Amino acid sequence: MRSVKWTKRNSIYLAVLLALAAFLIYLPIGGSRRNINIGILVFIYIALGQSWNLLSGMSGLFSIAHALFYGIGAYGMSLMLARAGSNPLVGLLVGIGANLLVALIVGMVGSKLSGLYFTMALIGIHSIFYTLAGQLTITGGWLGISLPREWQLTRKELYIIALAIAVFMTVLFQVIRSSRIGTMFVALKENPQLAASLGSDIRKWRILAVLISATMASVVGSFYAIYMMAHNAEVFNGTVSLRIMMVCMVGGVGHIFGPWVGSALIIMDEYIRGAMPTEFASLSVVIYALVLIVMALLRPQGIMGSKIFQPKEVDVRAIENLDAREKTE
Amino acid sequence: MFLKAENVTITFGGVNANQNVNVSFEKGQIVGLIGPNGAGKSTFFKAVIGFNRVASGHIYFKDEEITNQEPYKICRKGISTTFQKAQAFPDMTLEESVRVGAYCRIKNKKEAMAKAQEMINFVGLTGKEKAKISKLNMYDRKKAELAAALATQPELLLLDELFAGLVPSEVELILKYVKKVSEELGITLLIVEHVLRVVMSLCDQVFVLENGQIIASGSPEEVANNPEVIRAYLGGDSNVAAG
Repeated sequence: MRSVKWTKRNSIYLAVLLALAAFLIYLPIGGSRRNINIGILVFIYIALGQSWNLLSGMSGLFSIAHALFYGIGAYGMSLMLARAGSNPLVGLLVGIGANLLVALIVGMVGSKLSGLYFTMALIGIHSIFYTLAGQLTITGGWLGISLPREWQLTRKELYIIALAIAVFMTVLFQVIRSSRIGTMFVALKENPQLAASLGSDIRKWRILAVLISATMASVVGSFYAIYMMAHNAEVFNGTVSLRIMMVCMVGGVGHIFGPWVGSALIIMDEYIRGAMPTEFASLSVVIYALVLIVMALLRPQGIMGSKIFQPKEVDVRAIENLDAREKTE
Repeated sequence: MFLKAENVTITFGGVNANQNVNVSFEKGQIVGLIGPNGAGKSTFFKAVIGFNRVASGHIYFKDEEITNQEPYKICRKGISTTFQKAQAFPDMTLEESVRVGAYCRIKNKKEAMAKAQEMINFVGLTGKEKAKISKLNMYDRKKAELAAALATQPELLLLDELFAGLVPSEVELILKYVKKVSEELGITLLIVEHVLRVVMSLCDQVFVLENGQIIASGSPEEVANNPEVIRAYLGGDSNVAAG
């Protein structure tokens, strides 16, 4: 039987996991309403972070306006519940359906354009939705839209659902990364020319990456609508997109646990704001921005990008004596 | 004909990088494409695999036109390549990198892994499967790229200066693998190469490009003794075969 060597890294992972599990169980039982809300926000950004991580970290399509997919998911749910008198399942599916349509357009544009132009196209489509959501009567304009009270859940129920979504998105990310799809996503990120020469249809994989990522963000957006019970076009706000990116960048782009670490740290600004005198509360953004600048300077690979969290690399030199032998033969 | 390029012209900004190039050969051969720097060898190569646009002319593979088709479609038809500057997926392990090639024809992960392992063993990189490509030396990277190209299960393999950047002892070793590709896997090879000794010792047929045009073709001996080739290649009356 193959023995598994217990490494220092495994010990760190286990300790962090146990501490995290204990904290997550304690929060809904003994935590205050504010702490539960912050917990839910952390889970929302973990799930959104996994969605962004898949598109930008794994597939290399830099999504600067990820709130687009999140907002569509939120409006899918709120419009179905508030305007059509439907149920959450229909709301969820409508959000996903609308997102798939938009993602198909973004994906098709993205597969034709690359780099900066893909980003610009995404910003353009995002602006259209942001403006329409703020202007149309059906969406309630800038005043927003309220959901019928019959769909209101308790904080604890919301907490459990949010946690389940965060865990599900994390597992989904890993399942995709270790599958054929994940390999092809990474291939098109790292060297699209080589991937194409090896028979990979770059266009198809890019569209698929946007579709999956948009669906993930849509589910989170739909949950957010139920959680808040009312929202306006600010779900499309650029700050949401910025936070999603920062969650991954601070935690570690492309790393499965990056959004967990990043989300926990980024959402800390909620605590900082709460601890500060009211007149200085807005300064928390300054602290938040400074932390990001320091991170960018000192640890651009993110916390989970640190060497200790990386898989142990094969000692190529140790194997190279085989080559030396081969050359002398 | 296995591959047939008919009057292929490739233009960049009004300048003809290739002009009325005609290249054709049968299955099972090792074919060389030589010429001085800037002759248009790699330009022609990239047109065959779909990366360069053919302005006029046609390219046929097994009597089917492949002119200006997308690279992934050409690969799926059975043409694979290695590039002049070794290409890689730097953050992937060797095994996963070769698996990208295997996925060209195999959808199942386990089967693709088995094919990747087979090709890794074939090029002599056994034991380095979990090493990141970025950690490999140039010689191993070239072999890794060759393994990935072979994993697509090509019928025609294009090798663009595979030997460039290698020391003579490594050239000899990799030459062994190239011969193995032809003899054991039965893959037809089209080789662009600067190391003339390699081309002359390896190839059944050689085409010579100068200023984007074919100036000679034939067996290595015929080409080596062609005065036009000697003039174009060496600018004098030296013997090309000695290269």
